[in-house]
Amino acid sequence: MAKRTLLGRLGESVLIVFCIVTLNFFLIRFMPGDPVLHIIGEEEYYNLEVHAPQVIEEIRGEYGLNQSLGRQYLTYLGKTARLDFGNSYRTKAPVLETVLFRMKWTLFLAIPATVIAAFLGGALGLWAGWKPGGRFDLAATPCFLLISTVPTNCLAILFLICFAFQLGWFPISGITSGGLTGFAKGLDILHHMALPLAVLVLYKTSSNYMLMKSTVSLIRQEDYVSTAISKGLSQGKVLSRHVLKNALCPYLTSICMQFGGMLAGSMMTEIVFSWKGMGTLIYDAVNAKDFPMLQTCFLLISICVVAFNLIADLLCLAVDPRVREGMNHVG
Amino acid sequence: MLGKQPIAFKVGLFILLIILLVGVFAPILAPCDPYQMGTPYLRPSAQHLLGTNDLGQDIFSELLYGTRISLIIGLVSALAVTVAGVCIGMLSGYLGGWWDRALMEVTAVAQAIPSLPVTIVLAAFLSPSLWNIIIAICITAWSGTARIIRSRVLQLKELPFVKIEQTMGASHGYIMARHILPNLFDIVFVRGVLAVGNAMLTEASLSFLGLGVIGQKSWGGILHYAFFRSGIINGYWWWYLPPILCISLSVLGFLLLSYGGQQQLGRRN
Repeated sequence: MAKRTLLGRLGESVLIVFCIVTLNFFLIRFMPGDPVLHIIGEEEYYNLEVHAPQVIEEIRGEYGLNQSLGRQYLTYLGKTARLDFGNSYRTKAPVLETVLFRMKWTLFLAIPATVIAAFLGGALGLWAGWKPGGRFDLAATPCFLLISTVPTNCLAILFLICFAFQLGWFPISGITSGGLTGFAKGLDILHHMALPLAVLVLYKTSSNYMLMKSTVSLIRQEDYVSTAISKGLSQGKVLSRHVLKNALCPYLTSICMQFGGMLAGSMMTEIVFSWKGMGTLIYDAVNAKDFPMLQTCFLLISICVVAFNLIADLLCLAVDPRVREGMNHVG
Repeated sequence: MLGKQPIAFKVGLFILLIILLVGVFAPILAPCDPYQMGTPYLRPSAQHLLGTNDLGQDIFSELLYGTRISLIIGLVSALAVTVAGVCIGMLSGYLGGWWDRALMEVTAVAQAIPSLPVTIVLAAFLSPSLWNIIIAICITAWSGTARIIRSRVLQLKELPFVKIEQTMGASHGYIMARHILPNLFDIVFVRGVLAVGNAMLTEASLSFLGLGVIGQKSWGGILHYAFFRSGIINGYWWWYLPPILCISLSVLGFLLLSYGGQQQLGRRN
């Protein structure tokens, strides 16, 4: 039934990841200068050129740089499939290790933010959408609209100045003060986390709120809702049985996509609060021109996005029987 | 004509007009040369309205000049994105069949690639010239517009006047240019205005990361130096606050303009 469309979506996901790997390949190859220079970094390259030119030739051989572009591409694909992303220019350590370590801290920040915002934005949006033009709607909507016009890094900076520098309620930067263990360390991390988490929750809540509000206010005008109300169903029952059930599919899809964008979504916030996650890693990689690091981050971010897009489709399929039946037509 | 427009539209237009004027007349308005170095970290005074930065450059003049680069990048990117989106969406929707499938597949790929990361990667790899930054911003940004244009064209091409033209033997190109395109004006306007705001936001993020156009003042760039050269630790609000306000205000302006346009659209239908 829907199997064909699903297979199509799966194929599309593979195609997208493939495109990104290809883009990464060509970025290195088509930059001016010797590709080896971009693989091992400028400093290392000039160092080797003087002291051990044969090492450069070895690397050239390893990446197949003497061969045709097609062969080089195959070698690159093979390396990527074996998760060999090369070494960082800066630290000389394998890129993947560093990225995975940093990813852990990004997820530690982003997962709670996404979950909290999903419930908060959903609940507030439901409230405002159920009574459009009501007191709550009139008060909350302009606030959330205003938040969404301020760029993330700007709001983060304002929070930093206000709550960390002026009021001194929260630490200025980093993940932990160091020198602590056990429970005290956990508390300290939470204390450091509060401000970046608040910024992320605020942004995600405002976009969730907007989505939920517009979905619910549309559903509210449907005939089946009027029927449910007029046949004497309590407001709670109408909301849970009829409104929420129909609003859930687009909402879940959007939340799922937020999970997909998690790895890069908190980048600006991380940089402002020096949270040592993937965002700061990307920033450092950009400034040090650490290309293998940057490319690996980019690849992982994209894979995460693509995977969660796919999950979102599956989820919608599971939640909404209409999609299950209709997928062949809509496709 | 303007009198009938929604209030949001007028406010947005007013904000943007001011920004545009400031951008155009920056050399006349600026009291100092923003590249001229002097005494660093001066507080606001009559001579330097917003003080000076870490190199002793006048922040107020930097801000005025920054309007230019932010606007140019925003406008040119939006133009490119909108033209590409409209062309792809129109071809895909109107021609249908094989064209449609191929173009929509490309659009789906562009839409699924995370936009800010790809922009950062491209900006880091390419040399940071004005055109390279614009390319980096545009590379995936057209996909949303293409989708929306396509679905509108799918509706339009079923309408009688298009069918009549087709039976009369008008060429595809003629129908698209003379009949489909004028009917897309509203959507193109709304999407185009939004695209300017988005491109300016992306540019601000890029230059905040230090990936802006080299040797040019921009709002994100001023914020970058204010943040990374200890403007915040020292509480120099006249350094970090103005660029934040400028970026937010212009994004608000474009948002209001497109929101007003959308209301107008809803009213007419």
